[in-house]
Amino acid sequence: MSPRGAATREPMQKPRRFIASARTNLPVWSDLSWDAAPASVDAAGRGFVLVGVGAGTAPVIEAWRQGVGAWPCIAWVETGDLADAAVSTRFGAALESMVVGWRLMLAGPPAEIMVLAAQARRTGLLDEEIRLHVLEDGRVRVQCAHCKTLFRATAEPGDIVTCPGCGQNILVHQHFSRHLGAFVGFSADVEGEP
Amino acid sequence: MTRGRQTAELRITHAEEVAPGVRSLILRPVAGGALPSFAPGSHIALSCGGQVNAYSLTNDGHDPDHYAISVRRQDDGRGGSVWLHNAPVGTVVDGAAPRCDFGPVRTARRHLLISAGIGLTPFLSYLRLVPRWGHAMQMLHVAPYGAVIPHLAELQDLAGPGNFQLARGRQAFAAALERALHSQPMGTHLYICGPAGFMDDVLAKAQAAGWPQARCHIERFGAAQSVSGQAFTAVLARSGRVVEVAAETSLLDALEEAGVSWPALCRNGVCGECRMDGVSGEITHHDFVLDDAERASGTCLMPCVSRARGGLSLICRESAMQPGPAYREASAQGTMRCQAALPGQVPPAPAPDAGRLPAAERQVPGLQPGLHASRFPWPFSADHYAYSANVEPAPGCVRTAAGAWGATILDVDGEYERELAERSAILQRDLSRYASLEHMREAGWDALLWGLRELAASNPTMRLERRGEAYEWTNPRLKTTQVFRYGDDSTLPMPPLMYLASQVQEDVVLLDQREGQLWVDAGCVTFASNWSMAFDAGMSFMEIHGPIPHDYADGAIPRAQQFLMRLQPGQVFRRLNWTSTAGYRLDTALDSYDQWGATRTAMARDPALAAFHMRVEVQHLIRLPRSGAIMFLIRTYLLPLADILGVPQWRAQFAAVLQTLPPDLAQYKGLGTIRQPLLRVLAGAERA
Repeated sequence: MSPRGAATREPMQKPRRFIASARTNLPVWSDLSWDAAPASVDAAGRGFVLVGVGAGTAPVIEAWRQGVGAWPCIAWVETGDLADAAVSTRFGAALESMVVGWRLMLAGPPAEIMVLAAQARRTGLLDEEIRLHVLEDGRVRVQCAHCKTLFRATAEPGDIVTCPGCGQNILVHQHFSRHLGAFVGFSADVEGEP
Repeated sequence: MTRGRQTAELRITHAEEVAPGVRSLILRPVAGGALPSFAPGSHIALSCGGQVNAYSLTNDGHDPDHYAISVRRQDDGRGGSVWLHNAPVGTVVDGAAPRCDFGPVRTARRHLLISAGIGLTPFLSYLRLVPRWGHAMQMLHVAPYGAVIPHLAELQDLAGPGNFQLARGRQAFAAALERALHSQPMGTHLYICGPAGFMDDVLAKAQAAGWPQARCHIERFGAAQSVSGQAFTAVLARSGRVVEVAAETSLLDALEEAGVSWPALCRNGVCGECRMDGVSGEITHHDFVLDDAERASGTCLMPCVSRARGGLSLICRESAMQPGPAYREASAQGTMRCQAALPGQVPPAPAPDAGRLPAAERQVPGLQPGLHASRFPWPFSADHYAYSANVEPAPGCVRTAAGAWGATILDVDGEYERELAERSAILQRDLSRYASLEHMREAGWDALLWGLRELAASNPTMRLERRGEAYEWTNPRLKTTQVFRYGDDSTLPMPPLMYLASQVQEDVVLLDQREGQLWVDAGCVTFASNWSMAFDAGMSFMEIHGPIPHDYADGAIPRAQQFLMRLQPGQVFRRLNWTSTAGYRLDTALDSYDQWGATRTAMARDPALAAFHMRVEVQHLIRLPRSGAIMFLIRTYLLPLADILGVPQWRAQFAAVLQTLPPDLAQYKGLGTIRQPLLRVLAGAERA
């Protein structure tokens, strides 16, 4: 995903407790959004797995498939319940069928494809073997620092959401783990304005 | 030999021609005893008849009593290999401590090893990982028809059935290589060792098969020692003195050996302390400090790593600059250990009873005035604040206005039993403070053995004894004895890294090095300062530091990573970091912020800020020898405000630092709203 995933970002304007940071590890999607052209197919690849999440990604996957040409290719679009364990199982089986020389390309909302990219890295893929095309939908994954529940929410860093695990109001922090595919959130209530 | 590197005199105790033109040597320390452990793929630099040559170590690197190498005779070489072929058994050679620039990638699901000629030697040590840690390895070696292959039976035996393939001749090799490159499961890494042309050829074929650069690793001995280079001459312009800098010596070391003192801290081209201005000559820069314009000026360099071609003229204030006391004490030990620097000058540990107060009673600062101050690592030496990597060699005793600290790496003090009980209780209710990704199991064992040895070396009552494959650990302070077998998790009551954290007051983090960066892949951290081990596990070094304010992080964090990636086994460095905490509270992890966060608001409401504690982390950085992982030890000390007020020099320095601290850093350190009240308290104490 690098270099895009690790690029720098303008200081956050909105969050009340955050400090400007030139190197926040927020994923940067500005050049990979709806209206941008999808990432190109890596000409060095000798085989491809292409996965779209959401029906809206079908055109992207089809364009990629054309770009792959004659190399071996496994491609599909997930349209059902994304929380379904079957998504991860299907994806895992495709990863196991890859040999070195292949590339992975993912298209879809960030909360979903960051999770799949993390699963791919755990299987042994390197950043330079993964290309992403993000279709922003305003949803993120958050891990509650206190009860460790991982959940999806419509939010961005600086917003306050309710943790479905412990019920606390959780501030979404500008700290993102690519390993978990999630932002960290912590209690928004214990340290009111003095 | 030079001070910057560990060396040992080694005696050739056995020599054998294992193939025509290939001589295997066994080297044992002249002084007896054990040799430093090493990771697979490590090499040793040997002085052989006026040459320094690097050879791969081929034996098992776990607590070795000897080093084994295999040397191919090169009649057209510089003479080192011929010298080693002619050296009789009993010859003594100088050997530098092993270095590893070609270690296996620990996250690899499989390792593909490709070699030609004598290039098989590093893979002998690689293949020893198979039985010990269960790595999947496949080796392909090419040799001419009829050639005798050194170590063939051993390679076949270590690799296991079907995992060692010998290709005779170019055609057979080309076909076997093609098959291997196109059939490796995703996650395989490729390692190539042999003649330069051979390595380039295999690399090109791998890239044609779609292998990214980051999966391909080659051993180039020429680039192994970046700090050394060609010999050159330095001329001290004012006195006209001439100092010869040998190929294997840094300019800094050469000057010191010639009796010229020069300030230096990290000796790795990171801290900038040894900067030399007013030089002239053709300089080759190897540091991480100077910017492009400074390099282009050709008038300054960092003598710890940078060199010159031919001659270099220095304007060296030969006696004007003397290193400060902290440096002198640390560097007197070089990179070797000194367990008790300045005996008698370190204040005795506080009485055991004083440290055993329950945490709740300690919310009131000043309960035991002076108790914390005497061993407190006071973080300021000047009257202003500067964010920097501020690394220095460790250990080394530093005297402060109220006592001293830093004589040992692991600090066992009067709080030992209480803090370990607190850590155990935290892990009981929140096991997520311990995290270890699957590939860090070996690093966890490496950390445990290093830590227990260090504890035993610096605490007379603690003992670690080796009994064959087993170790017996005895710790009277905790009334515990534990027998374990290295690498066998079932012989410990908990994972090895967690066991280490049950014996030391330090929090422990392990970093894996791969893809040109560091990864925070394991840790047992119960006393974190507002971060979460559970959440940060698996992040890169740059990612984990994301929330640090910009201008400060921009330079320091990437430099710190470069420094850490060059750390060699046997080197230990340390740095200090400071922030603030409300109450005497070690556990300020992000995980439990919902429990302790409110104490900050309560503290700020009190005009006297009676609950304020300065929080200082002493961080040690250690390259573990067997796994190649970096161990990051974090020891947390808390000092009540009352104790700061009790030391006039500290009170004045803290006030001066607070006045010059940039606003975003003040907020990062939890001082955003209390800086002004704090300054009033400090000023009030001054007037009183």
